[in-house]
Amino acid sequence: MMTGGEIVGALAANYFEGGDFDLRKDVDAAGFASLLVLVRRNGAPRRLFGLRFVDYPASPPTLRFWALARWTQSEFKFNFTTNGDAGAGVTQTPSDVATMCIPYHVDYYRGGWHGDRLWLPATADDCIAELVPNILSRA
Amino acid sequence: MDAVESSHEEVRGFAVTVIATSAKQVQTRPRELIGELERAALKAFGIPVEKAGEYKLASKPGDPGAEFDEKKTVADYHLHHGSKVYLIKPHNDA
Repeated sequence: MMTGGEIVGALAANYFEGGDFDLRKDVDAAGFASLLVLVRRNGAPRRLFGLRFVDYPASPPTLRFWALARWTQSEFKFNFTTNGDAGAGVTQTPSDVATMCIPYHVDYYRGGWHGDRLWLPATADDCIAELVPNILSRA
Repeated sequence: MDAVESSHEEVRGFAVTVIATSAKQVQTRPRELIGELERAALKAFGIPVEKAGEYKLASKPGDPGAEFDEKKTVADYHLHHGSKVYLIKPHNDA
């Protein structure tokens, strides 16, 4: 089982580096690892999302979506405790987080939004292997 | 690929890199069915083989058009030593 930092490295190397993506990795002041991914299709920016790993593998990652323009706004701070940008995902959670209705991220379960496909720490890496392609297939 | 190299891979096999978050080397052969490679990949990742029906191999993550047909062979997809394939579990909800 990987740590949050290790899984960010693995995702970057195995899914995003060298592909049609722009990528930023970060470890914040609290020591939590995250990555931001600008998904391109035929070179054009298509979707901007981030994954932040807090208490991984015990807990699923936080998934956030932002407007494409954020990528080049140097003053903008990508804050995973906000709701992201309205309309930047595919749907909204009941608490107005811009998101996708796919399992294995924190907001899928928050407030009882979904009770299926539970996050199991023992299979966390496999859950991430399901989450990331599902994000990309909707991007 | 020339005939000598092709024959060598047929006899000794070769390793493809299967990705499911982490990456693992999985041994295969050109005539092996994708379904067999998929089961070997599941084993490499410690996923029960009974769950094979839930998974697919694909050349790209997140692209339904890139998913492999398990009845085709490794050679049909021109996989060779070092080829990268993704072990994915499609989720069809909105």
